[in-house]
Amino acid sequence: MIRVMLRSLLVRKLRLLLSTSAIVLGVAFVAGSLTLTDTLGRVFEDLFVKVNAQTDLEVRGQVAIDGATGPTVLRKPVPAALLPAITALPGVRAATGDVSSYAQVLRSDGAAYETGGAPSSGINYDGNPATSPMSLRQGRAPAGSGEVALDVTTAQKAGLHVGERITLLLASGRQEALLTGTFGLGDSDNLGGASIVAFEQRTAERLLGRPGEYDTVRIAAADGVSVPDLQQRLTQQMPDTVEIATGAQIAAESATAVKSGLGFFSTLLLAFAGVALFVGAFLIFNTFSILVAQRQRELAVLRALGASRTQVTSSVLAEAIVVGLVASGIGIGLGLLVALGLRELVGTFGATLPTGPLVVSPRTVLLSLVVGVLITVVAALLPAHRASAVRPVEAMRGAAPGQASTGLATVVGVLLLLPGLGLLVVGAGGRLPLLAAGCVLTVLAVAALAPLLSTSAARLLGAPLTHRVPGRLGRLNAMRNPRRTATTATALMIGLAMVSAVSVVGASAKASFGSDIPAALGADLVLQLPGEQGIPVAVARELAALPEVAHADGLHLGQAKVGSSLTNVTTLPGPAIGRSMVLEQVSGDVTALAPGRMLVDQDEASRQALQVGSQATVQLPRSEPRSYLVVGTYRANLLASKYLLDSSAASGFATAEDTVLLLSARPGVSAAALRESVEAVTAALPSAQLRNRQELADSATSQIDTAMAFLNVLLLLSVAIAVLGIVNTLALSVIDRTRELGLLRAIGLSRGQTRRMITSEAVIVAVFGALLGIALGIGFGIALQQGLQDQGITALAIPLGRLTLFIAAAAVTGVVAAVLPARRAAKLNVLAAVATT
Amino acid sequence: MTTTGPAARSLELAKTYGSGDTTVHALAGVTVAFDTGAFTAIMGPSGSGKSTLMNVMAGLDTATGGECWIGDTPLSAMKDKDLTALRRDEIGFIFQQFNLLPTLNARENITLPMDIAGRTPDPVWLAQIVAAVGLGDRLDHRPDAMSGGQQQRVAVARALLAKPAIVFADEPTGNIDSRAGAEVLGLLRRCVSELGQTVVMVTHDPVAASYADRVVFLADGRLVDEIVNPTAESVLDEIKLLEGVPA
Repeated sequence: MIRVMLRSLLVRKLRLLLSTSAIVLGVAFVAGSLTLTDTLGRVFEDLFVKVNAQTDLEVRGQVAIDGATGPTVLRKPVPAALLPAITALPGVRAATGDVSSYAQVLRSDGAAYETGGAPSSGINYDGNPATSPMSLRQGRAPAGSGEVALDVTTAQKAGLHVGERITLLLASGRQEALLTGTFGLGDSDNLGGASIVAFEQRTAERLLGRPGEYDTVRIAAADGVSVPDLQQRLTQQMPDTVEIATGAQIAAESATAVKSGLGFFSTLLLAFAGVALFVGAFLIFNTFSILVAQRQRELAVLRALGASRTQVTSSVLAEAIVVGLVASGIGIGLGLLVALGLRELVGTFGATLPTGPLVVSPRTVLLSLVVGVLITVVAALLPAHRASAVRPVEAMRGAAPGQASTGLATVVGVLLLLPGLGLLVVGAGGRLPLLAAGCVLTVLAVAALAPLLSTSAARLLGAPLTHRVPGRLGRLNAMRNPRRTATTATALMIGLAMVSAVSVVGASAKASFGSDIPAALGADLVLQLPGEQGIPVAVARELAALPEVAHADGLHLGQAKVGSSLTNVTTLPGPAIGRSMVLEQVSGDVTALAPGRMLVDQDEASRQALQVGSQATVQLPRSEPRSYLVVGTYRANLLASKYLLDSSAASGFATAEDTVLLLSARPGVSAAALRESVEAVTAALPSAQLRNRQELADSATSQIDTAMAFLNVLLLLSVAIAVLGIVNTLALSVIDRTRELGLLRAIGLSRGQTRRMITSEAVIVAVFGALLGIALGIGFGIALQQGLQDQGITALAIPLGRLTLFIAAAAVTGVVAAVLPARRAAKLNVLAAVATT
Repeated sequence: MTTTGPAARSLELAKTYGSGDTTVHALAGVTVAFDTGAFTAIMGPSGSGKSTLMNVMAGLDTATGGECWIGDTPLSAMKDKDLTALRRDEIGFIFQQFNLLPTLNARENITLPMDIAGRTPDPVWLAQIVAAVGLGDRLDHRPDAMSGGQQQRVAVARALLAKPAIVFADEPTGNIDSRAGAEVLGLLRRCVSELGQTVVMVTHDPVAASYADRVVFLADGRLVDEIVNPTAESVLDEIKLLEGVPA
């Protein structure tokens, strides 16, 4: 039986090629996602090990907010007074107190050097080879107050040369300095895309640190001293406000944090790979169904010759395993290209990912193989069962392939549809995992029910084509095998359902932000720096003093612990409410914000059982827990976080600078005049983002556009696989209908008409799939919008124009998918076709 | 067609497959004419070239030598597009089996060539043909709901509808039982006698050939003999003669 299977596989290799490509693409996506994440993980891991290689031990403050975890967590500072005691300790060879803060490098042309999301940091230059992770590459170390060194990559990319004077923007303002040298970190030129400018130790402490405090103290143990012993002794001798960690421990913590961040990225990519494979499964199912139908005679002969049902089933499944293995193998190879492509793609959408040799782990290979083979085999199960159901007597009859009943699929469809819709409704209440489950069940249900619809749908959709014979015949062909039409259309449906849902959510988000942001902003201008960096206090003061400015209200966004949960809070001056930030009051009095009082978002208030008059305990990083009185609740607001505190609380944040400045014009001052005078001050901050209401709304919507574009690119693969599915089904149908095509050509159907007939069928199938997908996508999109209301997507918008465009695109897709099968049909030798038995 | 000459004819028509030692001469110079308004049968043993002759003269296959005409139109220089139009407008086809499109009902199958050409069938003529083939009550049935004989009669109706210059039938009774076969052959005969249709039929069945006005015999790609007003017996004798069996 195996030999028979292999023979038939070879004979039909061309027919299998297209369906194989679906698995190849899906597996390539899986392998590519895993490889990219592994590669990035390894790059960061190596980096952290390198950076911490010189550090035997580190003294760091306790976590600032109780219960917060992770390596990026805010920590209390280390008192500078501890440094002499540490250095004097037996077994300590050297110790360095570190400070770091925001430091933007300006390029040689005066523009800000963009890091693509990575930090722009200023740090102290550690010249002690015992503790320093830095290795000088060029020039010399910075020695005086007017000197700095840069990491090699930043110096190169910013076009700055050793010996030149460069300009930096610090939190305290603009700073000129002489670039005395460049350094690397271990043997790498850069730290994950960040720009690092290093100052001489004293200067760094003065410019970047706070008096009497270090961020951390790094320690090198003396030769022959056991690091764990030293760690233990330090722990005993240091006060409780600090803790001692080993370099390896810190490297591991950092790597874990990056990997968990990558884990989300990886899960996202794998989710899209999953969709692609799901679509691929439909393609495999269809191909095997058609191949089994075409081989009915052959299978019947095998059965008549004594092959058992099990043998027939096994032969089909064995075929599936071979196909799955070959496809997965190719897919893994292709996955390496996908990994590189994904890295480029992410780069296109604004984030810089570090480069390094691709890491192909055994897990990636194994998982990809298992997934690829499993999907293929599962998709082939039903066709294999049908193959074994062929009765030996059919070998004698040569009966036309019978139409399998759709009864079971219908029952399954209905059974899936009800819980699917139920979960969608429940999930729309805000429980997104249930919503996702609802989407999957509904898609499966509609896939199972689609054959019931496909005949009427093809009749209806094909109606406009019936004034010509090719269109009429194409429509009949689309109607003749409901299951084949439905499965082919369903593959396209899945991709389009996702794309449509993304469109609905995106349009809703844009509509929400586009109207809510201007409504929530009372001020005329909003000043921010990238990445929620603080606005230098001097700049804020200068702006407030401008004659054109009536109010300059500073918002400070930061992390805090409210009750028992970590969350973001915003501080602002009480009078700013109403004039700079407009809140929609739900209860209490939102204008009553004052020291010791707080306002709460109404959704958060009901979640945390807070109401006007309640007391809540808030702990900021640099303050002790304190009780605040809730004086008002407001409807979720895109400018405010869930909790609003009075500005007097802002001293509890780690930094003194506000993150947002809301500026209002004095009466009689024009918008242009206000802007002009503000820009004159902010010219010192080239990366400053100064926006009016409309611009603020536009920047939010353009971010949504970017996110949508990214998702759509990832979904494009699924759509591409579905298009392959249409090509495949048509190609197999052309083989199926060879004699029929020959007859049509013999009695006078021209080549052009034959092509148009196949194209009509393709367009009908594609548009049917698109309509199903768009209908589902609108439903999913509405459910998602409802579920995301407390994320600020309060308005529902259905982009009908865009969705209509999808239908048109699907029709075009059908035309494209039909090109090859139609050409093949048109080129059939009439005589050979008629003679085919 | 206004010409009074033969509906189709060939001159030294040749068709060879392969080259060198493996050359097969399916047709080795056949000159024949099929008279307008006559029913001609082509006979010959397997491999004699009778099907090839029909396929080439019907524009389904191309000759490698000689020339053939439908009416006064030579086929050898025609492109696929023109051949397709010629088949559609001037030639009717009846194949041994699989004559009908499974997705169309009988009426739609009958009008298909005219639909393809974008012409509307003359309703009177359509009714006349439907009556002649005796399918009035089955016009709305799909092929899978009809017997083999009924399917072949639908094929005959389809071949006649466009009033083609010539109808080619390739073993039209080869795949149905003898009673249904007799009905189809009787129908073809009446088409010629009563409607003046030209019919050329390839067959290996002497009884089928006896319905024709004339039988031409092929052997080894050559025209070897012909019988006018044949009977089943005279045809059978001729076949025995050709096969070298004493009569």
